[in-house]
Amino acid sequence: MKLNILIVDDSPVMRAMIIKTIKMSDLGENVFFQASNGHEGLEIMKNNWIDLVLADINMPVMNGEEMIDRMRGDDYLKDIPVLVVSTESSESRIEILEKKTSGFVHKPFTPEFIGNKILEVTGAKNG
Amino acid sequence: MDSLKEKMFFLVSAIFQGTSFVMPAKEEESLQENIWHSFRICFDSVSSGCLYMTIGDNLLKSIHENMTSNLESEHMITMDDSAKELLNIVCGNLLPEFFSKKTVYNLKSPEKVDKIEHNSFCCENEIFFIEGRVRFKLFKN
Repeated sequence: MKLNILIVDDSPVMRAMIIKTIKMSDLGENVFFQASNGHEGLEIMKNNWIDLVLADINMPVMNGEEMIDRMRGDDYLKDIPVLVVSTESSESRIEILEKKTSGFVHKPFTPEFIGNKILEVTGAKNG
Repeated sequence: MDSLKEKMFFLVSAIFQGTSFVMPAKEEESLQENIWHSFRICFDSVSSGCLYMTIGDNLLKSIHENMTSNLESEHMITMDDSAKELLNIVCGNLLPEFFSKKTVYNLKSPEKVDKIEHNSFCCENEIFFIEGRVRFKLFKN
């Protein structure tokens, strides 16, 4: 199953590393979109079919939490699964983020972990 | 090795291995470095301060190559970008281990610095890799 995956992170290194790691996991070919903040992410979601969003939290212009809140208030975007990818380690903050989203991926991450998370939230099959 | 230094050693070693595939080494096996780069990330919450990373040029080159090989990016990714991302990951993982897992830490953007300027030293460690060495110094205000 080919997925359209949007990566929202202000670090080009991290966006590229997430794409590389997903490619190293056993998920087959996917199409990747990239945004450097929540505002850009919302624009891409409004203009393209997106199956999954992987988003950082701390970003300039619009942070990940505000982007997720706006998605949840938008009939067109509210059902898109979101995985938060962050260095956040506060247990209470992770709990809040997990309630708002489909899951949490802690940096650093392995191809196996991120692959399993994506399968879990999208139900995608290998290849 | 005291407990904070030990935590710093294990955490940095694991993150460097996981993100950029460099392997820890004994001091005598580690490449000697002449050129160093320093970066800083500051944080605030209940505790505030800065974490400094001073990394040898050769180690940073290896890490940058490993982190960015076969990457698709419309941006030109520099060695400094890789170092800043690594420092961000280390700091995000280190603070809860050092202080409290219940606290939310506000991390500022990492930046390259010419020298380390801080008074209230908390902990430091130098970690050796085959490709070179890296020093972390944590300061708490």
